[in-house]
Amino acid sequence: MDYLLRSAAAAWGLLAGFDPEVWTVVWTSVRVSVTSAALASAVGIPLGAAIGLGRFPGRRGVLLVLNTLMALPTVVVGLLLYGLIGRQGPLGTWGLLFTPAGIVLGEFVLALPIVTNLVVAAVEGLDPRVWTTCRSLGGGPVASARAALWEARFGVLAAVVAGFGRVLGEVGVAMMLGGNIRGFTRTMTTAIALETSKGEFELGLALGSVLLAAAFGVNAVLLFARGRAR
Amino acid sequence: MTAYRLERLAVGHGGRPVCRVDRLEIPAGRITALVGANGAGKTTLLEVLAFLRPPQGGTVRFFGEPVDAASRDRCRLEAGLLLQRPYLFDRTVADNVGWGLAARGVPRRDRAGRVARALAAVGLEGFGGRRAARLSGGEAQRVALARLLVLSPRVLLLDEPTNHLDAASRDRIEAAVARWVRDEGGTAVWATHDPHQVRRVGATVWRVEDGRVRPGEPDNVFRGEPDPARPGAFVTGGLRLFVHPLPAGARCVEISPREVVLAREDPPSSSARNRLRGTVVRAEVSGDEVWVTLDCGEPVVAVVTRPSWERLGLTVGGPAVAVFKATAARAY
Repeated sequence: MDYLLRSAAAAWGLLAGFDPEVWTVVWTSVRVSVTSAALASAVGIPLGAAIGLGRFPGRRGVLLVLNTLMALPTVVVGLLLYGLIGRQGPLGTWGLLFTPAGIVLGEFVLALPIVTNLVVAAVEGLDPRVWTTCRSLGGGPVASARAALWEARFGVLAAVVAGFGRVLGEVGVAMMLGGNIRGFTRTMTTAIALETSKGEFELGLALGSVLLAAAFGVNAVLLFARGRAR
Repeated sequence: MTAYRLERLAVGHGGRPVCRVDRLEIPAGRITALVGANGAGKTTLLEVLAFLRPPQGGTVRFFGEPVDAASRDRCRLEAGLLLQRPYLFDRTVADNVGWGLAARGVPRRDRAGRVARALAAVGLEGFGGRRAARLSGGEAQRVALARLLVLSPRVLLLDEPTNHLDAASRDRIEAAVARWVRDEGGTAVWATHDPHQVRRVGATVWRVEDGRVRPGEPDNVFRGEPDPARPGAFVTGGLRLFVHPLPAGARCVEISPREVVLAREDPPSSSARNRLRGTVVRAEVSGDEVWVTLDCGEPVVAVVTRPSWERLGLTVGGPAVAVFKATAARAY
């Protein structure tokens, strides 16, 4: 118990003292997570709306694939993309391996099915009168889909938050595609894994606290937004 | 001018046929009522008239123009459907009323004035900034009406819009629609099961029953009140009917002509509590069926097959008895 308390105190010292290593790692994590979640949202929200509101042959198959991809292990994504962007891979000349952009690509692949699936669920859960109302008022598919997304905005926001949470807390992709290079691709999760294995429990604890605080902050914003709307 | 001309129209829901219209012309610039019980197919028919649902067969002409898959989207812009329980977007009242204008590309600067005029037309001046989710049922229904009126449609289709409203809200909606028809020359098709509403708005009546749309008032709709001296009895101008269940405030009783059994004489042993003696005043052959009208103090209509009609040996001017169970009658 004494060890834990001492470690917690040391972790607080690292955070409050603005330890450059800690905050570089935090900044890298936030940068790649926000970028990948934003890209996944930019693609996943319209894609989810199209799948949720549209009726086309093979729709059930698409939903089945999306559901399966939600449970995709991060190391499998890392492995597949490693083969793709590695030196010997077809996209090896792009030079993405062991760069923040490589992590963003992997995390985008992880977040996309989550954002898309949750947006599908959000628009499918809407009152069916939304679509009838939009059409009877002369709304085309795009205007009606925008109205439906607005009506389902809290579900859509929750989808974005879930996508962000997934990429912020994952370690497999960041480790395999980022390489955990100090000051360049080291993220909070890869740093925690490394520092703990080296016995640097304090640094791991400090970064873990930031991760928890970030998760808490994002969900608090979501809750606040919902409360204001009621 | 005819707003709609329907011929051999088959209307269905999810592949299941709901009702047929052999021929129906809805005049422009007037209110036409579709009267029928719940589940008769009024809503599905209105969705076809609003061009939100294609018919299963037959033809629709809209202001003289034949409607097909290519022209349906264009025609939809000229017909507005007011649902029984309308959906208001989770925005302000003004945003709701202006949504259709925005979707049709009307510039923002032109919308505000039109929205204000539409709200005034339904008696909701000054409501533009309110949240739609916080309105009462009557106010929400009037916002939904304003949302249609602002689009200047040629036709308003109203799907029992006053069903769950208090009398004051109902009167406001009836007045707003009647004023729009009178002042703007609009056409309204009003689905309802309230015969009094039909009279108040001065509508031409078509009845939707037994999967068919026919002209005229529905058969076997009796107005009256429960008999305080006799539980379960409902008295009208010329009849005493036994109805189960019979709500205390019931003012109308309806019996499908298909629930009425005809006999030459009062059947000696039957559980049916309603046995109305009368005289056959009309018998119309329709396909394999005969629609028989008895004068029992008020007209009572029954449908029998042609073999039954022939076996009974009934004649126009002769006596007959109409029999039905108390549970076959619906009171409201």
